[in-house]
Amino acid sequence: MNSPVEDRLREALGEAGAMLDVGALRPLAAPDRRRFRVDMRLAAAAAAVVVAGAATVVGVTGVTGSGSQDGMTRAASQPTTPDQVDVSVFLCTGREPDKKACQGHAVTEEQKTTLAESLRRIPEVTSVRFEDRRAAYERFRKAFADYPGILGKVTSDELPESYHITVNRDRQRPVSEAAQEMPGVALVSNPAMAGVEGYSAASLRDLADLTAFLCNTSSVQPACDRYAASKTSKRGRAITATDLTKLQEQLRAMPEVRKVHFEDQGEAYAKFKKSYSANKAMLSAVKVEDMPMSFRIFLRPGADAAKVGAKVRSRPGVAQVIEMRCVVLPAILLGDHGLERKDVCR
Amino acid sequence: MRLCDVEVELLSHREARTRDRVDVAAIFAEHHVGLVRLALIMVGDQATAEDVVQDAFARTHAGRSRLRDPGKALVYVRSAVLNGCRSVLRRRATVFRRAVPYEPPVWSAESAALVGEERRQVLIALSALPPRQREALTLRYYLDLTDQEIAETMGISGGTARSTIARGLAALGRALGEAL
Repeated sequence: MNSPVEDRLREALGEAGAMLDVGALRPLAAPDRRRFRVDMRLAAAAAAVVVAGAATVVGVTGVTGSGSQDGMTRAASQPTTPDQVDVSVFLCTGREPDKKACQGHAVTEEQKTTLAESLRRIPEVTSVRFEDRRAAYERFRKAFADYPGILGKVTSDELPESYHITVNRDRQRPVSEAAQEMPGVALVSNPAMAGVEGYSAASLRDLADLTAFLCNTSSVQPACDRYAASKTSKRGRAITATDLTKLQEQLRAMPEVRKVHFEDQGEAYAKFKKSYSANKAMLSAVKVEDMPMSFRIFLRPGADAAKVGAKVRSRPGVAQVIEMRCVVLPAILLGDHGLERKDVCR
Repeated sequence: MRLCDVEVELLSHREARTRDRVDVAAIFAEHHVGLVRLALIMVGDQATAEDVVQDAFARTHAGRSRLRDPGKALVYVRSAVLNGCRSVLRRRATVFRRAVPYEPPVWSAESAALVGEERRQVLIALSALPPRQREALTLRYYLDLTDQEIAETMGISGGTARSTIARGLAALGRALGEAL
């Protein structure tokens, strides 16, 4: 039995609570930990998370060693249904001296025939399409049309031939692993593992030029050691609110900087959760407070990212600065075009 | 380091931690908006409400190793927010006596916010009640907490919670000119 007063009160309170402008809500800042104790497991977690933080945006590969075939980005070359994914099977060109699978040899015609037949025989594979070197080079030229520096570095005979297969999402992993074992296969890449589908050279325009990760309580970077040691008033490694504000102001004041976006732990965690939605172990292990805060820095055209990066790196409270193009471009080259190049950044 | 090694490392580390303490940060992240809404009702403006929740977060974060019962964590966090609101209102009362202007509540007439006249009367009457009655009524009629939950959040007994709510309702009814 509700009295009229109760009803009015309930409604008024509901309305008062609803007046909160959720969009303007400032994120919670994790306070400095007073009693800091070095915990090696914590350090490992933090290192992994910084890597994960970068991977969330760009699908870093190679950073995690064995994951180098998994966390690939690739442009959607053809539309697929939600429960199907594209997998690219890149063949040996003979120019991969360090790839055990190729043993320095190019794929033979016989191997190609066997491979195509085997792939078509897998029931979960719904389509198999061969791409020759010329088509591969055309696709590469189109994807990197905005990057003359990279176009000039890659010659047409470097790009491998490949089979592009469509496979049911839930069977993609075993199929990829099986394909990787076949003779003449240099690399199998797919977009689903790291959850970074949809990145392509074209969408690089929306990507920050630099990402500056900030020290938090569990950062392990040497820069954060120095930062912690330089703090006089407070102990702890996390960047202080004062330094955070100062850094943001400094970034905004830099002539090369066009735009700065602050990514808080909540936002970083949301991205992380999305990227690792399939990885329950990772999800349960990482909490919001483990995520690094970061500044996403967009530069004006013509600005020297390396130079700005070096400047930002030296600021107090900055754990590490990543030049996004140096991470994303090699990832796209490898994942979409089967080409391993480390010199694309300069 | 291989990715799976990292995962295993992370996993064991996290399990060890969740075993011995409640993750205050996760509770705050999950209930952040709700807690700020509660604080907004108590203090009347969003900026202060956010500060109160942030302060409560900082304080409970510092004492999180003492917090062992996951079932009680939300209660604990809510009382921290309520305490923070109480101090703000106390400070504000002092400031008010010195005639320094302060941010008017979002539902006040001078504020641009859109709350119906009828709702505003209720909120103004509510803010005129003694702090404990106001808190108890907010916990009951905004968060729909039980007597026992209200008692735990406010740090009083169940009986006191019940009688505080009854007295608060009666006072509110009188202020609004309604018979119960």
